[in-house]
Amino acid sequence: MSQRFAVMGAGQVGFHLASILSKQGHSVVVIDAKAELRGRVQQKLDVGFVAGNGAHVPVLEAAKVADCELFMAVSSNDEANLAAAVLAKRLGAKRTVVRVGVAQDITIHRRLYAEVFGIDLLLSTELLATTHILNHILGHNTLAVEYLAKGKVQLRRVLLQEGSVLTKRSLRDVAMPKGSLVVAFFRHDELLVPAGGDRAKPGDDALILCSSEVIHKVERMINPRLKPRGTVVIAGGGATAYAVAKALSRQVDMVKILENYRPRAEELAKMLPDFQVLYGDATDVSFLRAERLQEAKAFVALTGHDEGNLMASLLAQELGVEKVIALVDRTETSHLWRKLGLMNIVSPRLLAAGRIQDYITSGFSSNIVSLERGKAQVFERRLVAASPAAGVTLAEIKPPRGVIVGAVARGDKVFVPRGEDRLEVGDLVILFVQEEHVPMVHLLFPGRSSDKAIA
Amino acid sequence: MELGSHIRPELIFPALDVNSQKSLLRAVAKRMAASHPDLSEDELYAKLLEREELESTAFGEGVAIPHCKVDGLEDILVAVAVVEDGIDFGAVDGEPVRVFFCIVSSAHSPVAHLQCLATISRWVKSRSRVQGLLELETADEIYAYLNETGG
Repeated sequence: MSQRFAVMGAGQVGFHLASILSKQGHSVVVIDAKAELRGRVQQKLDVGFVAGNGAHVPVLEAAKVADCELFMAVSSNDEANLAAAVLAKRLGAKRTVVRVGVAQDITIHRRLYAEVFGIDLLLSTELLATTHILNHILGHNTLAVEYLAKGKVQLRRVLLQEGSVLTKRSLRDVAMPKGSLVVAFFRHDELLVPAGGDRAKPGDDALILCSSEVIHKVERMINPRLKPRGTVVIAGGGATAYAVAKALSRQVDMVKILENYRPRAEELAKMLPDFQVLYGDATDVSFLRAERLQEAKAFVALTGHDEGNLMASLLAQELGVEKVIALVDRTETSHLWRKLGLMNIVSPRLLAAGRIQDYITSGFSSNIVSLERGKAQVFERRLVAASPAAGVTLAEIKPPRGVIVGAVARGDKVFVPRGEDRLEVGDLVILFVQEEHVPMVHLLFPGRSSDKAIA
Repeated sequence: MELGSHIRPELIFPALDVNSQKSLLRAVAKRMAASHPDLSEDELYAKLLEREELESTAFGEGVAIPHCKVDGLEDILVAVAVVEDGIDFGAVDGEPVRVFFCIVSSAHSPVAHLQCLATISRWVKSRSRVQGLLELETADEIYAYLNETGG
C-alpha cells in the first residue's frame, strides 16, 4: 500500500531514504534548506521537493506533513531536526524519527528527548558507528543497545551464536555476571520470557539487562568467539574516537590514540590516563612504524577526514594489521577504496539510513524498548511514598512471570534485585513488562516516564 | 488473601451518582471516613487524588482501583462503587470506568496494602466476573457475589 513520507534533509541519509521509499511506490516529499538541491533531487528521484528550513511551520505545511505516515528529520542540524519533529507531529504527522549527531544525548537522556519532543525513533549517528565498530573489533554480536537510568543500566539485544553458553545450558545453570540478567529471548521475532529451565537456540537474540559496568563480563561470557586481547590503535581524537576508546578500555590490553593536533592530544592524555595518547600524523608511515602499528590487533581510523581515514587504513592494512576499519562520511567513493582492498568502511549515515529503513519495514516498531510490535515494554519508575511497591521486598511483590524487576538504581549503586531485596522510596526501578501486565505496573509502580529523566 | 475478607456491606455503593474523577474520589472518601473513626475525609480525598495524579489507577475495561496509605489506621478498608454511566478516569484504553474498588490501608503495612491490590487486580482481570457484578443491584447482592467469587 502506498504511504506518504516526509524527509527533512537531502543529505546522504535523507537522499538514500527518499530513494528507497519512492522506488517502493510511496509518495515522498523532501525538505531541504538548500533550494539548489531541488534539481539534483528531482532529476534522480520521483519525489516532491520543498525548499526551506523544516523547523518552520510554513515549510512543513507546504510539504503537507499533516497526513504523512512518518516524518524523518535527518538533516545535519540537530536542533532543527528536534524542532521540526515537534512541529510536524503537532501538525498531524503520525510518527517522527530524529537523527542527532552526539551520542551522549541518547545514552543518557534519550527518554527525556523522546518524550519532550514526542519522537518515536531517536538515533545518533555517532552511537550507531560506535556500536558497529565495537562489534567488529571485539567480535560482539550486539544488535542494539538501549540506555536506562541515565546510562548506568543497559538493555542489550545480542545475537547468540552456536556455542554460546546460553545455548548450551538452561538459564538457571548459567551464572550470569553480578549486575546482569537475561530478561527475554527472541526466536523468529517472537518474544519469549524464559523460565529457569529454558535455554536459547543458536540464532536467537538474547535481551540482557545489565549494569553498564559489567558489559564486558557479559559479552565475554555469552560470546564464544570473542577476539583475543591485544592493542587497538585509534587514529583521531574526536568525540567518536573518545567514545570508542572508552568502550574498549576494559576489553583489550591497550588502547593507543594517535592525534595530530597537539593541544587536543594533551587534553586527551589527561582525560584518558590509562591510554597511550600519541601526538602524530596517522598517514605518516614512518610514524606508524615507529609506533609499531604492525603489532596492533586492530586499527580504527576516526580522524574526521574521509581521505585521511582511508589513507591511514590502507597503510595499516599494508603494515599487516589484522582488523582495519575506516569511518567515512561521504560514501560516493567507497567502491574505489574497496577496489584497493579496504573492506571495512563504516558510514555512520548509511547506518542511520539502514536503521530507519528497518524501523519502517518492521511496521514502525521502534527500538528494543517497544519490543516486537509492542509485546513488551521497559519502564523506568522512581518510587515515591505513594507507590504500592515501596517498602516491600521483591518476594512479597511476587511479580508474575511477564513482569521482571530487572534492575534498581539506588544512589550511585545499580543492582539486580533478588527476592529478599526491599524496594525503597527514591529507588529508580527498571521493569521489563509483557503487554498483558502493563496495567499491573501502572498500579504498583505509578509514575511518569519523565520522572526518571529529570530526577 | 480472600477478596471478601476486607469488604463490608456498608462500604458497597451500587449506584454512586458522580460525574467526574474528583467527585467520585470525594464521594468515596466521605463515605469511608464516615464509616471509620480514624479516617478524615479531607486527608483521604487528598491522598487518593495525589495517587491519581501520579498515574491513573484505571485498570482497563471499565475498572479502576484507587488506593492510598494513611497513618493511624489499623485495618484495610475496601469500598466498592458502581457508577452506572461510567466516568472518564484517564484509562489507557480510553474506556469510561464504571466499577471502582477503593483501598485504604495503613502506611505501616505496605505488604498488606500491596497484597490487597494484587488480589483485587487479579479478580478484576476476568471480564465476565466484572460483567456479573454490573448486573447486580443491591449492596447485599454485590457483597455476596464478591464473597462467592473472590476465594
